[in-house]
Amino acid sequence: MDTEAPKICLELRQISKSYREQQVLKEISFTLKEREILGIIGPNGAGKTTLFNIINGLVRPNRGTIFFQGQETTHWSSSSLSRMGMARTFQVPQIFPEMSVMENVLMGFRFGPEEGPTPAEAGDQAGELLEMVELADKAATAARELSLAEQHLLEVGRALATRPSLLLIDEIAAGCSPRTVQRLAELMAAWRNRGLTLLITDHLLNLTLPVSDRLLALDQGEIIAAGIPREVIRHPEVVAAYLGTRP
Amino acid sequence: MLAVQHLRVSYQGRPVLADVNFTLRRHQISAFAGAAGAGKTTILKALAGLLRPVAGKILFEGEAIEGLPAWEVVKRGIVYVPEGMRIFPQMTVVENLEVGAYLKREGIPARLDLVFSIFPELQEKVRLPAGVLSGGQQRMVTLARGLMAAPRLLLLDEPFMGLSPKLVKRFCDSFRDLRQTGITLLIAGQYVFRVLNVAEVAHLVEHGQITLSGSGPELLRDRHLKEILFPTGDRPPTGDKIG
Amino acid sequence: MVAAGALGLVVWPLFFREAPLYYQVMGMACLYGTLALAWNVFALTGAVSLGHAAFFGLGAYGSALLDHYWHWSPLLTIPLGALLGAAYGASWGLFFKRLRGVYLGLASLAALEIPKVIADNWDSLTYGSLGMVGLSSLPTLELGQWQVTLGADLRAQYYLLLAVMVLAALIHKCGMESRWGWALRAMRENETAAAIIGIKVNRSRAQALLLSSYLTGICGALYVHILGLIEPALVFNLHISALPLVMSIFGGRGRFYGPVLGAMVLYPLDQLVFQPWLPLGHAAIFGLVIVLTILFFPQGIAAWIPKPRKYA
Repeated sequence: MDTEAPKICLELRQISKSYREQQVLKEISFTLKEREILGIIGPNGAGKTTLFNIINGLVRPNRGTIFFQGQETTHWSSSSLSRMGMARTFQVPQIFPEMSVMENVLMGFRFGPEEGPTPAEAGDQAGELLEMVELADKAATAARELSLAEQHLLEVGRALATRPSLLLIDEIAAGCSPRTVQRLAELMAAWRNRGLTLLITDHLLNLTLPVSDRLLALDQGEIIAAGIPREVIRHPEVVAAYLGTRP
Repeated sequence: MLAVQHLRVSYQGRPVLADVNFTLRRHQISAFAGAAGAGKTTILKALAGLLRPVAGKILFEGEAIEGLPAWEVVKRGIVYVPEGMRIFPQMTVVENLEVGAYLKREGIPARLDLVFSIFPELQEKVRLPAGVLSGGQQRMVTLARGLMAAPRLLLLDEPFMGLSPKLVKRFCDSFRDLRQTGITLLIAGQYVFRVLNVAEVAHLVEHGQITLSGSGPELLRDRHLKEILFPTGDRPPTGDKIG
Repeated sequence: MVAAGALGLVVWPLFFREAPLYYQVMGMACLYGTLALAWNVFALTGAVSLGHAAFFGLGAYGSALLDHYWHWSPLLTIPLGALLGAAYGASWGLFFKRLRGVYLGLASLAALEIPKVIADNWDSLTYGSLGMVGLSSLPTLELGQWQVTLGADLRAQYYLLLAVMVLAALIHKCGMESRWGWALRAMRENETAAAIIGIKVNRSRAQALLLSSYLTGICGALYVHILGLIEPALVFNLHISALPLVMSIFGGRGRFYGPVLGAMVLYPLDQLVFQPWLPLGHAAIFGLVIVLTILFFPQGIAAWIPKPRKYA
């Protein structure tokens, strides 16, 4: 692999989105390299989830283009993007409520990009995934009976089962204990080492800051700061809009 | 103001709270810290009338209220704000807030002013249907709606979840102002470090029992609590410190 | 247990040699069973259609018109006529693409009216509300020395309808247990989640609708050839829309044979027991059945049958 010039996994150019007369995103542009972890921070309502929705194909932008793995994917549907290797979790976990934990994960194996594992392999790999997110002992439980934190973990497990190259993680720490948050940080670093690219957003800076290689700060639909976490956190606009105090 | 004696709660036959005892004085800020599943939410739900205890007494201003339906509890001034974003998505923000004042209709404009002084961001979104707000903004609406019920005792469950660090700080600072207006606060959650700093009374909840009590700052110094709540090290994970 | 039931369905006529009433009732029960299965195929995507009688009627009219004007054998007109139903189903896929839940139910109900009104008023083609009589009965099949007059021999008719129902049940089973079936279930439980793991939601839903509308059309076509006549009020009937729903819910939607169970129990009960009791209001019993089912056994009666343990 050429380590001199890592490939670009995701590129956004001038993405804009308005709802009624309100502009939610204004000309957002950035690139994400393979195996990079990019964190997005910003006050509530800054447009973070909308940005995720646009990248992920659930919402159409008014203007701008998106390139994923070199292909223009601006208007692609989320199922096409999933089959190309983009996976995502949600602030409110989107699990299959009546299916068991194991069945939820198996669905990820069944329907990801074409060359999936055989049913037998899938069973084993699903078991490993569940061990990794510490849900193995609840494999037969119906997904709707899990706590919020467990549902987040299930969702990320299922997302990994679709063998993605890019994983978007939206506010996964909500409801998780500090110990689980620490485990998530460790897992994200491990996934990156195995070749995954990550785009995460979370208010829990204990998760976002240590894990991210780069940080993007959003406020009112615009990027107000970008760079390495240590610097972005000290940026005066970021402090004023998001942190409230100096670090 | 509030006395809880030997409270026991079971959920579908499984005991969840076993012999919980604590008291609250008027105008205090008190906190319940504990890991997920420890029973903090169950205590709040029992106080709010959403769960019927198997045994024990809950005395509010001298009156026994255990087993009363939720609306009776709200009428007496105890308002519970649950975790998560429980808004009415089709109603506008202001309608959501007004609904919060369902049982206490006098003085709504004053309360709206109070709410907007704590959450000025909501003022610009007042006419929008609550469903189009972002997750964190919906959380603000939920908290604000709790305030609209003119509570004497406000029970907050994991109030800071999903809020930006700046908002967390602002909301926490507002607790002192809220206290001036006569509200007593009881806050439960995993991420309550800021609250522990200012809480006069705090309890650690583990496996359905209170295992540690004292003032907030005292609890913050306790090693056992630190092990449970912030295993990453000495510094509590707050928004404005890089761990 | 399923095998025992299936065997029973095949074998019971041996014990009732000369019982044309039973053959007729059980035959129609099979037809309704097929109808219920067909409806449920679309319901697997989470959609509750109240307008399936439209496909029934269109299949019926498609076949009847081919028969009346071109005198083709029912062996041809039935499968071809049903295509008319499927075509209408395809149009739903286009126009109702974004509708979900209650809105889809209402739209489907409204969509039932369109073909009915057309059939009623296009006198020159369909003879309007007078309908058509004298439709060919089901043909006589010859296999060497063996002759089976499906039109006249009620027992043979029963076996034909049973065979069609078994075929429909197998299709339904596929819709529940195959990879495609899991895609439908995923859509039903959480459409957003289904989309983000790569399921082609719209396409799968359209496939289910096409299959469902075609099978329903087949039922309609069979129906009118057995009766020998057709008129709009008969085939574009709300009763026909509602019965598969009642039967599927009563029978149980967790098993592939649930709708069959519902039809096999409710239809004969209705014909042999309720109708003599309450000749005027017997259809209302179905309303009662639905209410009781939802209140007391929402999983349907199939839930009472012990399921063979399979490791998921």
